[in-house]
Amino acid sequence: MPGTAPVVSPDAPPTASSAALAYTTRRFSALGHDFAVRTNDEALGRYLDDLFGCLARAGQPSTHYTILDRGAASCKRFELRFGGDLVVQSPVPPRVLEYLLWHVNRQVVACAGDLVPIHAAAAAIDGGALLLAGPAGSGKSTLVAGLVRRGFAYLTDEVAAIDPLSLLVRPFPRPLSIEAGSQGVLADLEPVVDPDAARYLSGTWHVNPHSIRAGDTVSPPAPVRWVMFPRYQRGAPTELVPLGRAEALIALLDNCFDNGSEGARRLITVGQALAEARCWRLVTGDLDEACELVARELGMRA
Amino acid sequence: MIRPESLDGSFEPQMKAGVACVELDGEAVLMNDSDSSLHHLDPVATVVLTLFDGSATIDELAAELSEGFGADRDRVHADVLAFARRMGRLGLLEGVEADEGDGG
Repeated sequence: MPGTAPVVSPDAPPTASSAALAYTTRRFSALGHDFAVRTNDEALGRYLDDLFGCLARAGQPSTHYTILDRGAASCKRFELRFGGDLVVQSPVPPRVLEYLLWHVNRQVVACAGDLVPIHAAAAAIDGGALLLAGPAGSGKSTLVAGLVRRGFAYLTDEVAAIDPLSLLVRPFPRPLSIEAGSQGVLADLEPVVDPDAARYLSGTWHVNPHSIRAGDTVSPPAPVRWVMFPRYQRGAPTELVPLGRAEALIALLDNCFDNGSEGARRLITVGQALAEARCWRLVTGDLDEACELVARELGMRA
Repeated sequence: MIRPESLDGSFEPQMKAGVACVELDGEAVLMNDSDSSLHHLDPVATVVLTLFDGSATIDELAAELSEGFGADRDRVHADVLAFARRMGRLGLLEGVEADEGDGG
């Protein structure tokens, strides 16, 4: 996820006419964010239709992204807009896909309404959700990919949103982002990409959850039954260290996105959601060992 | 407003309105909504906190707790007073001035 503010050029040329936008994706809906993507690059459109497939819904979207390739003569050839607002212009195509994924995450958090969004991956088993919370680089996306490959159902790899009324984690089954450092241990998840769309990709793999394994890979809303705070440490033995619920609550609150909701409401919602949860810190240097230990601890029979 | 170090046995501690509290496994997690600061209390402090409702003085609370736990009254009194001052410094008590830079 890009960490810098989008580059906005106030003197950006007007967008191409809608007639030039040959491809419009299906409608995608994630928590409160409802969108489709229009583009003049059909290969990219088809790629996005597949990539966001788990978010596809019937009906008309309420917002649109526009991705334009202005042709080789333009110095800022590739452009991403949200509605009429310029998000980024770049001479290199991967920037527009990076910013699209970043902007979708941002909008999901901004549109979460009463939901409490936590920076966490999540997967479900036996009707209960496991939250994997931590900063970028802690290994949560890698671990959730490994668990889904093993039979867990996917909820998200970025934003775990807790409903304050039901206390269930709502799914945000975005494409999983697998960074270069994790691709070796998840080699079987390498996406097959149309060569015409491959120019939009950088080193990160974006994996459609449905492509990970056969069967239902996406979980319905689920209660928080387990919480882990993973930390990847090269060469470290895999270890689960029990954590008190109150301590886990504070750590989860540190990972809450600030979507303008009252802090007290976040405290009460996350606190209630943890009432029956078991919590640990997880240190690991090996994905397979971590998945094995997690599955064993959670009583999974796979 | 009273300074935390000025609190004595006659003070009736009461948690400030706007402080949210969740209790998990007997341990309280407090959030001061004025600055979103978080505070984690151990089980003993959590029990004492539940008595901070503005209806009893520190002297009375110490007497009640020392009798309930069979503990030395002077020691319990010193602990409750220290706890009240700490809570006050954090901006969590009504009528007590928070220490700047101490989460309050």
